[in-house]
Amino acid sequence: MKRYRVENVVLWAAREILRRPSDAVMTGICLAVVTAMMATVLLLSHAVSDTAGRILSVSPALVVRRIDAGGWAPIPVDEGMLRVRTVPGVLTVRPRIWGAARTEQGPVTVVGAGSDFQLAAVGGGKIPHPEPGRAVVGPGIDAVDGRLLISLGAADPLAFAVAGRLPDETAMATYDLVILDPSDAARVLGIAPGFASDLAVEVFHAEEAEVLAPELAQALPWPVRIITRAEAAKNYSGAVLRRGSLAALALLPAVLAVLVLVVVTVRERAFRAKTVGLFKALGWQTADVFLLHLLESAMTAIPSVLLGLAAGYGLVFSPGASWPSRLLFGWQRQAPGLFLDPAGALAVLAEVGALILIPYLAAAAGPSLRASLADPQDLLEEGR
Amino acid sequence: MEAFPGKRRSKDRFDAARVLFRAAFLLSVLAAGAVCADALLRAGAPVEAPKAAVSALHLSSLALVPSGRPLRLPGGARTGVDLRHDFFLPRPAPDLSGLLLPTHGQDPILEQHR
Repeated sequence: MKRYRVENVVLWAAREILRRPSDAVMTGICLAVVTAMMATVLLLSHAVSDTAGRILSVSPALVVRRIDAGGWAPIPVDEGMLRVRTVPGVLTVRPRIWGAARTEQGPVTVVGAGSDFQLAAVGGGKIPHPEPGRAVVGPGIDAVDGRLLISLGAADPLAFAVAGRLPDETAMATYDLVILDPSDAARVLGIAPGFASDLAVEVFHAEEAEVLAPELAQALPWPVRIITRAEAAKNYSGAVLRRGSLAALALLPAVLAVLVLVVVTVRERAFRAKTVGLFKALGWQTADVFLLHLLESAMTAIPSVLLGLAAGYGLVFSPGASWPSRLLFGWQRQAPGLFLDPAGALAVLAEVGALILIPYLAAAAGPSLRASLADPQDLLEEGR
Repeated sequence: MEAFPGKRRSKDRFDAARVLFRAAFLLSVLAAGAVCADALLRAGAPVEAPKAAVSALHLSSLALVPSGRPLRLPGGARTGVDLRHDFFLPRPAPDLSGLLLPTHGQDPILEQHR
């Protein structure tokens, strides 16, 4: 009997929506837009920091860079490795040659890849190891007639033949990388033989990395800056949160305006006094009238919020989406397409959904309750 | 004689209401189902390729920001390096007089931390 009554009220609620379809359509559009905006901002900051953390989980545990009064300085490889190996807890030390260089297409990051770099694992065995005079480039670098011209500051430009291109799926790590033979990379970057840009250190226990950093600094005869893996990952989440929050602040007035519009529509609907008076005069119970208004609001809000969440999810997680790179990271030229990991996105979507639906249904429930508790005669006499 | 010959149709709009309710329900289920299916099926997959690249090239930073920007350095910009000299992001020199000249009733700032 109870189920039969609820089913009837559901149908009456749908019928009430059909009596004023433009109200429902406008409210639905507003809710969907607000939800999509909030979901996009929150999902984006969560997804970028989470994905960056997951990708960097296989990066070196510690990076040791030599510094001097002018900034970064090349580190002597033999002496540096010898001294780092004396620190208990260090597993391996690897010199890295890398740095920023200029091409006609803009700045790129040059990386020297020695024979021990497993490049074949990146492109499914199709990426050749760069020999001297040849380069492997990231997906964001276009080679002109198969040749790439790299120059650094006032040095003579050096030309390299492009031997391979890394797949688009690796763009988050390799978008503007130029991978060269280590001797070529050192020549481009102006690093003398026997020196490296920094030292990548692996440790026995990853948890000890932070504790080992001061010991490493003490073991080396130069001032150094040591960055742990956790610090490198935190760097991205901090930047994304800062810029994402600024974007969210800019959207705040629009969101508030839309929410006010929605609340006014809901209140207006709940105070249709004449209709409520008529229902009660015809024998509807207070609970039926309250349920009718609540279902009418829910029937508009739930599909709209779910559509807004789906739209926000699609915007952020569509594979290769490049708009977040432009918005958050300041790319001027063609921006890298992001392949963000949707792990954990459902929790964020649930939070956003609750954040919109609960206040909306609460705003609908209050006036509905007041209207349903009123005397039918009063409602009919004063009703609109 | 009937005004509208053929099958008699109800004018109480309950048929249309039933269709509306079913459409709203279907739309909700489809939107929620599509998002859940994608999130569960693709979880973890997009990071495999960049993770392999980071591991193979021993990278410690991602290509999320353009090359040469401070965020591309492992750990970000070193605080000792003045970003005014970064040719990718030139900035005017800040006016530090407000920091050096004490306001009424305050001690002078003896040390400036950057």
